[in-house]
Amino acid sequence: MDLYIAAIVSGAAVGGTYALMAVGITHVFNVTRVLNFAHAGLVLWGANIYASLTFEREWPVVLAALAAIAVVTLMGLVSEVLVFRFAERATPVKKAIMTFGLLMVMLAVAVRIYGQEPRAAISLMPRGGFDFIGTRVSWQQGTNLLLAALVVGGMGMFLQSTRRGLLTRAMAEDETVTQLLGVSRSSVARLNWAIASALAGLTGVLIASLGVFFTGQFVFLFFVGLTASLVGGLRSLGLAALGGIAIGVIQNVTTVAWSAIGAGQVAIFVAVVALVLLRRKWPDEVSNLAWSKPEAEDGSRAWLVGRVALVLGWGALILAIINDDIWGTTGVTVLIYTLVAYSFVPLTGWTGQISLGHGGLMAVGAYTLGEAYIYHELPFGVAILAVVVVGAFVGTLLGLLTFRLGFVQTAVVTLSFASVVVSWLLFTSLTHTTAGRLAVFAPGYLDTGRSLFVGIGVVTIVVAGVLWSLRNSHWGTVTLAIRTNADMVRHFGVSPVRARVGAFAISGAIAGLGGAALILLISITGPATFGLTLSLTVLLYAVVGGTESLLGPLTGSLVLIALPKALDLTQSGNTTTSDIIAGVAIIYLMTTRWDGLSGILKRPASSKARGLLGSRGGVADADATEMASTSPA
Amino acid sequence: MALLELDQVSFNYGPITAVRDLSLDVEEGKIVALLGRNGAGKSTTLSGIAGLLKPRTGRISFEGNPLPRSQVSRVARMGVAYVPEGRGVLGGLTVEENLNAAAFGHGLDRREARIEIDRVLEHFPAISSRMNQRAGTMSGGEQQMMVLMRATLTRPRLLLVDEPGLGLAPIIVRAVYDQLIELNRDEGLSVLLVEQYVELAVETADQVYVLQKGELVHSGPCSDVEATTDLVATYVG
Repeated sequence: MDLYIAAIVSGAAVGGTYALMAVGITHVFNVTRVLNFAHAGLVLWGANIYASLTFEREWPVVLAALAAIAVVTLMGLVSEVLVFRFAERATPVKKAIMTFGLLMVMLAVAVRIYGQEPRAAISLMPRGGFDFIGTRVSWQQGTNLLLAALVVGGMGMFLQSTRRGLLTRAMAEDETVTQLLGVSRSSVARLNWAIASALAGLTGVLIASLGVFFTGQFVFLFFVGLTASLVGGLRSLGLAALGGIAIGVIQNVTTVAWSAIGAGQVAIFVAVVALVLLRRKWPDEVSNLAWSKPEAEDGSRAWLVGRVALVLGWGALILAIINDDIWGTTGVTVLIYTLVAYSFVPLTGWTGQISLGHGGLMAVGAYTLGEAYIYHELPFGVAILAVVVVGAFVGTLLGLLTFRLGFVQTAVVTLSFASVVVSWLLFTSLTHTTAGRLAVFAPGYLDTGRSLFVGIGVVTIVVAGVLWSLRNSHWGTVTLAIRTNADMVRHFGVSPVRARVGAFAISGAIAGLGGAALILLISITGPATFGLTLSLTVLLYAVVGGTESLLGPLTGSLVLIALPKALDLTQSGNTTTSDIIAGVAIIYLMTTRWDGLSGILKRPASSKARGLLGSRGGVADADATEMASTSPA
Repeated sequence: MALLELDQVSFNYGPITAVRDLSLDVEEGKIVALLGRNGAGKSTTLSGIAGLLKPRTGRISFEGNPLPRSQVSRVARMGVAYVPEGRGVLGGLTVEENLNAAAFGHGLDRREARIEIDRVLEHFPAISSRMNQRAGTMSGGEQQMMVLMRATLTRPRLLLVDEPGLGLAPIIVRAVYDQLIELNRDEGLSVLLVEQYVELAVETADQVYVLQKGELVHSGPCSDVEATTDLVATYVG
């Protein structure tokens, strides 16, 4: 029993940082309707700056904390300018994707500067602690919990008792009406973005003070913060904070009750699924968020140049691979990202669903290949077939879990799924691995860069062909109609559920193939390869390329992976340059067009119309002349 | 010089022109009615003046100065209050918070806001007992009174009102119009009013403009209510 009490107490203390994370996310969403992914990046930077100042430069802890909070606040204000000034009229989802791009830039720059190794800081509070119900609580843990309570109380006082707080609530209630009362939207947004950023800085300082931290941890923290925010419906700061503390407690208590690796993550996943499935009514601002509504975006005048550049780019890559096998690795990486980007075409491009869990589906593919090909020694072709079947099966399960859910809820469930896969599933006896370590060596005919490129290239072409056929089938037409107007299609007797779940199944199968391709490239790996950052990266690359057309995946991965390599910008073994380019590209693309780089390849409707008129122009003119001549004077 | 002048103003929604080359004046201290059928461009005109839409062509001047384009809060702080169709109640806030939001938006402190609230309560005494009630829970008539109160709290020079009688019982509509007339008479507030009830609007207004399919088809004084109503009815139906 004592163990459980200790778990509850220490869980609540850990939950203090989750609570702070949740309060920051909720506050920005409340005021601006933007789901701010960049919050996690700001927390990461707060932790890193504090660690550098205390551990390396030996600043006094309080001064270092204040400096870290100040710098992060400034970073937050700069990001607010990027998101709001350049895209003032963008939809909340576009703004969310821009903050997603910002997060990727922040993560990649942090990796460049601070590396991916675990880092440590001097704790803000002195060592030691106090006993609480027979449990030892460190001063730092107690402080974190106390600060979370103080922040929630302080935010409540600010919102309820100050002039700016009232204007903030009014802006959250109705932005247009509040502006009609003479309130400047930008000044309210700036103030609150600054508050949330300062909070992110403080959260970073407190996380760094708890002990060793590393970059990948912050995506998980964001996921936990977002889950806790959902407890408060992304509206109530108090409930969000309580949600954070509850998650900390659930995580710790489960770990005591069930000693399996990743038991805490499994408990969070169950809690997340229960929360989003059991809660029927969500605030309108949460329900109304949708990944994409088709926009009547015309093509680009530079479409022909774009298509020629795409063909030349792929031609150059193939030539480079023929000349030098080293380029084979780059080519295979490009193809892997192309394959995974194709998995988003039916899911996001056709049915408007989102997934932040594709890293998990890739892991399922990679480990299925290991299980079938290495452990059960099945023929390679059969093993690949198993990858497709298992990927589709897991995709179907995810689809069944999420087909009813909105944008935010699906994001959280899929992210949680990826977390469960890499923290728990890959360590279980299902995978027949030691501590999740996986080794798969490609068969002899695929063991060079060139041959693997050809093999995965064939798979990619088959996948593109299948998607093209599906798009032009009855199913494809119905699926696109569902995205345009699901209610109307329902009136025609067609079930949107089947299309949505089907899209997830296809997506799972393709993502599984992407994961299998990845393990064939790197041969030996562990669960960390498929961490949450990979889920975010593959989604970002897919969106940059564009998920609306089959040319998008071919474009995105070529521009983001092969181009930096060709320009000699890439450090061996990491994708930070690509991530930075992708992040900046997505911020820019969201201010211009929705359909990513593939939009540049789209032929404008006016050009098509001219083509039609050109072929029939004589007839049209003749008709007009005839009508004019027969009209009464 | 008129308080508000629209000179050859056009508003578009994408490729569709909603209002074309509209010229319109609102003189100081006058009530002007903008009439027309559904889709004539009346609400679009008010939204454009308030800064919610950017004019495609033309010039909008207030007190001789051009109104800032697409800067809603600046237009409001210059003295143009707008009560949109559907009232624009901040339903989750109390009545007092709704009023304070307007006051704070115009840079008043709490003491100044209190003074102004007491002033406008003299025009709307029925609201004084509802100050702590959530605005969204009040009846339609009370909400309309509250938004008029909120709009006039900051002593605007011009009030833009879009269909204040929409969805209200006739007796309540009459009361709302009486308040508008009282504010115009007692505080010299100029009003540009959009309304579908022709007779009521003509009775209230000094001047009337009629829009049809986005174009001005008639303008004139309302000196003879019956004749003007009949004339306007030929356009509006």
